[in-house]
Amino acid sequence: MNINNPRKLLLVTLSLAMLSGTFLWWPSETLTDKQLGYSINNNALPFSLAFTQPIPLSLKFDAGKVALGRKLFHDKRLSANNTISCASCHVLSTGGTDNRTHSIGINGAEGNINSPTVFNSGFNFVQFWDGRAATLEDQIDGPVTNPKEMGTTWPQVLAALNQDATYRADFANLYAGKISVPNIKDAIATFERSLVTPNSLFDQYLRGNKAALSKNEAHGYQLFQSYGCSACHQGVNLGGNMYERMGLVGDYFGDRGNVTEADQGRFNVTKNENHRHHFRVPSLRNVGLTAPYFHDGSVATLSEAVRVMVKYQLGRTIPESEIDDIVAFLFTLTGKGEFVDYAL
Amino acid sequence: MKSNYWKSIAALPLVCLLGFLYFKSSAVNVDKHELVTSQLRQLRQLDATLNQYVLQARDGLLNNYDALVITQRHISELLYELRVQRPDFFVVGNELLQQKFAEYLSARVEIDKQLNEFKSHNAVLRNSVRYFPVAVDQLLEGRDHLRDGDPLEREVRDVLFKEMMVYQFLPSEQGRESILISMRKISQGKGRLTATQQHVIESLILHAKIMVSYKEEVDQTIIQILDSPTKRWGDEVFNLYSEQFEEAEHEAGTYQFWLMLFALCGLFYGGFSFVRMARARDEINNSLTELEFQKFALDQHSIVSIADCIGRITYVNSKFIEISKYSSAELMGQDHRMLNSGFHPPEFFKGMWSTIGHGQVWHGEVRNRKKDGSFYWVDSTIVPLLDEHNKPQRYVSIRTDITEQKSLGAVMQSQRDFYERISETLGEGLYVQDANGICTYMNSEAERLLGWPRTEFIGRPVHNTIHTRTAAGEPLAVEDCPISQMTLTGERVRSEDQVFVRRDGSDFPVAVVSQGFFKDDIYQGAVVAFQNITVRKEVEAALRKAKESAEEVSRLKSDFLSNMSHEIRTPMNGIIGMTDLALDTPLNSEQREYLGLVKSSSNALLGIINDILDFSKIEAGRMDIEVIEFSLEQMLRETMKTLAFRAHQKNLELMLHIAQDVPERLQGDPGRIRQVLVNLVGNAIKFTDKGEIEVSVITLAADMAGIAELQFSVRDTGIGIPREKFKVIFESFSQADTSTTRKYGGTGLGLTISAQLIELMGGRIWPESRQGEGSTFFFTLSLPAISGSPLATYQSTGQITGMPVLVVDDNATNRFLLTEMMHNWKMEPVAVASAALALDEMARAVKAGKPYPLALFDVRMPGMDGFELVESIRKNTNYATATIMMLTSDGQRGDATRCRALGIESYLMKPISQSELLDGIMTALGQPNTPQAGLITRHSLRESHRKLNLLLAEDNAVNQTLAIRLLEKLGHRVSLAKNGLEAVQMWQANKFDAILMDVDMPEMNGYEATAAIRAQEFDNGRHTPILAITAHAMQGSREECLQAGMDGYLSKPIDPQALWAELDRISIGTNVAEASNKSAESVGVVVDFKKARVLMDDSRELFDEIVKLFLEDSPKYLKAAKLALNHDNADELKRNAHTIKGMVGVFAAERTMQVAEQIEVLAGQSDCGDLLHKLEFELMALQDALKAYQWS
Repeated sequence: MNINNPRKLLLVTLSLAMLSGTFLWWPSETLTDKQLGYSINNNALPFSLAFTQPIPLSLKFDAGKVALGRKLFHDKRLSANNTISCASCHVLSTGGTDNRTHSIGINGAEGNINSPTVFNSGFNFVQFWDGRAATLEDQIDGPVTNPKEMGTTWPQVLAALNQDATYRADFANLYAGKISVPNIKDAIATFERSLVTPNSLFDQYLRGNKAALSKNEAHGYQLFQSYGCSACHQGVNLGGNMYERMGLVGDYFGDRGNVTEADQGRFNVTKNENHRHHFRVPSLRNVGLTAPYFHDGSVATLSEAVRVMVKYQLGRTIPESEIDDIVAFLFTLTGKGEFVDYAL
Repeated sequence: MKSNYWKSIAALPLVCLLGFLYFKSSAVNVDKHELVTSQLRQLRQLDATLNQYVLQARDGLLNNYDALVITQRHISELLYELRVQRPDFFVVGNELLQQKFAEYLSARVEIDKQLNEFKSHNAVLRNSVRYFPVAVDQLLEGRDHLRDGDPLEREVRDVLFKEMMVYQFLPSEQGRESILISMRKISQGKGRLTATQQHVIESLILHAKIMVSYKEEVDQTIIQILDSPTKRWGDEVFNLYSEQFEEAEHEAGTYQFWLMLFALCGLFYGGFSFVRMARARDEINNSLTELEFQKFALDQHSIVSIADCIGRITYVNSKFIEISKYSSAELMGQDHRMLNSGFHPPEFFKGMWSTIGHGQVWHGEVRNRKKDGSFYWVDSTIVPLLDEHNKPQRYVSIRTDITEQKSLGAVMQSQRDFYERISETLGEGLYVQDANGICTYMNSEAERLLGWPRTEFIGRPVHNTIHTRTAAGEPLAVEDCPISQMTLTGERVRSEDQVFVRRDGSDFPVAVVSQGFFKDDIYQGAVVAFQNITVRKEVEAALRKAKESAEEVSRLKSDFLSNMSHEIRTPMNGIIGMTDLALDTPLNSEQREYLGLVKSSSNALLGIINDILDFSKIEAGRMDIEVIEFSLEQMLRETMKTLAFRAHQKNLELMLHIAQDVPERLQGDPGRIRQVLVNLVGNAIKFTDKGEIEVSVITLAADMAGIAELQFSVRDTGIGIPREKFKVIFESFSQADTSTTRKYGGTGLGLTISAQLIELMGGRIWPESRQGEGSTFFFTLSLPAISGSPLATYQSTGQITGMPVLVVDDNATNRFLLTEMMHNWKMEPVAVASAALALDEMARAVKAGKPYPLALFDVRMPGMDGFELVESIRKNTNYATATIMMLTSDGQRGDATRCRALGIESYLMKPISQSELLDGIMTALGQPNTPQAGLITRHSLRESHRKLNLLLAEDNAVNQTLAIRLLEKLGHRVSLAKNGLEAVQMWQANKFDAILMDVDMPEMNGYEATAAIRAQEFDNGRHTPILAITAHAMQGSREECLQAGMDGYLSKPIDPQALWAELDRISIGTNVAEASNKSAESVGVVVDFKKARVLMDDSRELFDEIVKLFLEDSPKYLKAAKLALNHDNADELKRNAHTIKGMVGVFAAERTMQVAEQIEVLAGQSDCGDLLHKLEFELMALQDALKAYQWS
């Protein structure tokens, strides 16, 4: 439009004014439930007064993001020398852990703490043994930048992933934008949240199928409650929703000796003397698969772990037969779900 | 212009004001406000929920912390929403709101910390609370329990346990004190107990301690959580936010009102402006349309260009481009000088520039040059467009093309000169007179002839000056003047009997041509051209006189000759008549001989005299041609009869052939036609020593009026006439060669007379001849036919009338002659050109229920010859009744024997005469038909030759079977070799008449085997014929086989015909036409059963056997081919594809063959995976087709 005629110019401006006025008069948009309803977590657990509840049979996730997250989870380009992926330590086929005392990072570096399982980690109230990450997204920074783990930096990761046209296309499709750190984290965290293991024998039992547990297992379940294990190992994950001191009624570290920085637990985060040796209570889901046990990976078997727990946390004695039943019960916590590692 | 800028600048604040108003009025968003309000409200609610869960957990009503965790997470997500995703809510707000919100957030962080403490402590507490009664039970009622009445028992049960339970529900300082005292008492008293009891007590004390201390901590934590300022801060944030929003809303409302007001004004003004602008635009559009129209009109008429102030062209219209021949691009930016023709002096342009340079309009005529170099004239007007300083800015040139006007004058002048020159060089006198007869123009020849100078003559009345009298000297009035009067009608007048009068009064004869000219049908005058013809008139008169006297002399001479001839004839009659009479009297031999000579001499003399007489008559113009009705056929037959004697004396066949459509009755001169024919046939007999003479008549054309154009021909097999003599022979007294005169005699007048007679009858005569082979004389006559009825039967042919007869001859002439002859006998001949067609025709006839009772076959024909045809026919019992006659041209020895062997009734040699043929037919039909017992088959005939001992080298089972069956059917013995090596070994061990060698075989292929055999033969001097059998239906294969030392070649699928031919060729040693590759042509059928059945001799047994073999074997070869492909073994792949090709060949499975052949060709060169796949597909299709086929 050629606006060298002042009258025309005036006309145009006034038309604009007119339009804007009309626009104001109009209600902009109707509010949706999404905006008012705060249904932020689609996969919220049902409220329950009982000490635990079964893992929901199905949860909803964006399939595209899950797929992309799975790809990233297995992508060794997230490490400094392209040797380590998330799946290197959180091996999906072996319960989401590597079954090592301490995991091995790049260049053979040994970590200082036992890798927790990635399964059902979405139900945990914080991440890491010491809870230093509030969310799975925040957690990702840890292994990626830890020099003993993946030992890289985000710029490096971004550069590496940007080389890959399929990643560029994936991110463009799913996030309507470039490959960015929040998007990478979102994809990986979404994938991790999808790694739930529902329908264990125990869950079936909880749902009313009393035959799902054998006599010994059912007895083990009784003991699990009566010995007070369930005071801490409660909630859907049988753990993972509170901190507790390791060595509540006994000097665990004194007995074990050779106390490391990692043994300080939550103290490392809060510097609060009361939080020394405090750890996030680990989930007992799939515990039959995730040996060795405890933050220091010091115990290889479940019966030994039960023994340690009874001694240092409960201040009780327990006959061997009861340990066996409790262990039998713990094995019923292994969930169903096929988790196949995906070679890149 | 400047005012426009100011106006724009003035509009700017207005825009800013509007922008400001809009911004202000939209600062409040009610929806967002509602959202935030709702979120804040929910936050408060979640706060309460969290507290509720904490209390429930403390009292053991809620047994897991998931509810707490989820609520916390929910709160933090809400806060994240408020803080991160909607920061604008708080940016606009006041400091107080932000401060309160910050306080709220820190309170939340504190609560989260407390909650973590609560969870871990409460868990421990709950555990101990659960365990404590159990431990008490253990101590009091377990295996090693305290004795009843033990002070410790009481202490534990009544004090510690009781106090502890109370403390857990109602914690108090006293309770705590009494518990601690009780614990101390129990610890002191445990020393006397068993180890187990001690252990239980220690555990009890431990948990009791925990319960006391943790209970306190948990309660404190809970109080902190419940008393958290979050609720207060939250309320304050909410209230502040609402207040702030209301304020903002009020403010925005004001701005909104103003914005709306402005918007309405704008709307009104906009509408007003739009109407005004629309009106203005219409006006402009109208003016523009008008201008466009004027420009268009100008462009149509004128050549327009615009140049800038320094003369560079900036615009040209299409007319300009059209006339200058330059393109627009070539002209743009150029100077008009590029059109300068160089015709005008430089001053001319200088003047022009000075005029327009001073701002004045210039007119002038300019000659310009086109791109192609030709010139054009324009009437040019240049208008300078002046700027405000009166300097020319642009020049508009408008021109009109005046080239035509300019050139018209020049053209007319040159045309005038041109015509003047023509009239001067004409060599004739020329003048022009106007409508009144007044001379307007004369040329110099007219001046010379008439003696009038043009200066004087022009303007005079012509007639009264030069045309006053006739040739006879009579006065001639202008009304009677043919020149003047006739030209008035517009006709061209030619006259040679007028005289013109010279100025001196003398006259001279003239040849005059006069032509009037008119304009709009009104007479305008006349152009008259004339010549002095005095000399010509004199010459003409002399010539006429000479001709008349010469004609007279000639007539006299002819009369004399005619008279003389007649006078000679009369005594000649006497001589001949008397000689005849004398010969009837008793005479001695000497006398008889003398008189005989007299008679023949007289006859000869009479002939000569008759000729001379006719000749003279013709010369004298006294020959009359009669027109009478006559029967042509009858006339011809009688003529032939008289000539037949002479012909038969020389052993010549004299034939008459009258085409069917020749009319029977005609009008004409039969005597003269007869004379011509006698002459021509006489000559033919004279000049032919052996052979035949054929007279034939055909109709060339017949018109509606009944005039038939007939062509007569007389053909002989005599000495012929050299081409250069064709003309001479028709001249008087000449023969083709004077030397022949001595040999054959004659006057040489015969042909002359014939030619003249034909000419007199309106016909044409000509010879065609080849020296030594004979000549044919043709003549044509157009004669009226009396009735259209065709030639009547003149031969009583009895039983053969209407009999169908099949004629088979590859020679078209022979076919024609034979059918014509048979037509003449009223037979119904059907002629075909080959054996194959004959079989078709016979089949058709049998089907139609009218089988041929008689068939006439030529022996030598390409493809299937006559004998083979007979065999085929004999095989079919439907044809067994046919009487068969054979015609042979060369009469090969043994043909007759073969005919007898085949039961052929009649055997004739060409050339065949009509009578011979009729005799032959009659003889053949007269014989009782004795069909042969059983069928005479091919190999029963072959048996008379020889049975062969054959070796077949072939690896493919299907082809093995086929070949063996066919060969055995032919009566040969067949031994089988499965590959080349075996073939060589068997050849060494046995003696074979011939080897049939497949080219592609495993172990040793056909070429190698042949080479091995030929090498050994070289030593021992034997030669076994080897016939290659190959599926290479490609060019060059035959040559390859022959080069490899083979003697013959057959392509798969084996065609029995070709096999026979090649075997025949080898065994007899004569040349037989090469087997044709019939299979190569058809494309794209899965399987051609018709062909396949032919290939398998139509034997169901054989077919079934081969199908079975194929179904068994083909998958093996396909598998082998696939394996070969996988192992990259090109040779093996090739061989298998080849084998498959050979196998499917017998079914004429073209598609499969093509694919297999492609693989064979491409194997090793490119990937054949797809092709092999295709082959598999095709094989499957073929198998299906074969399985589904119903033999019928």
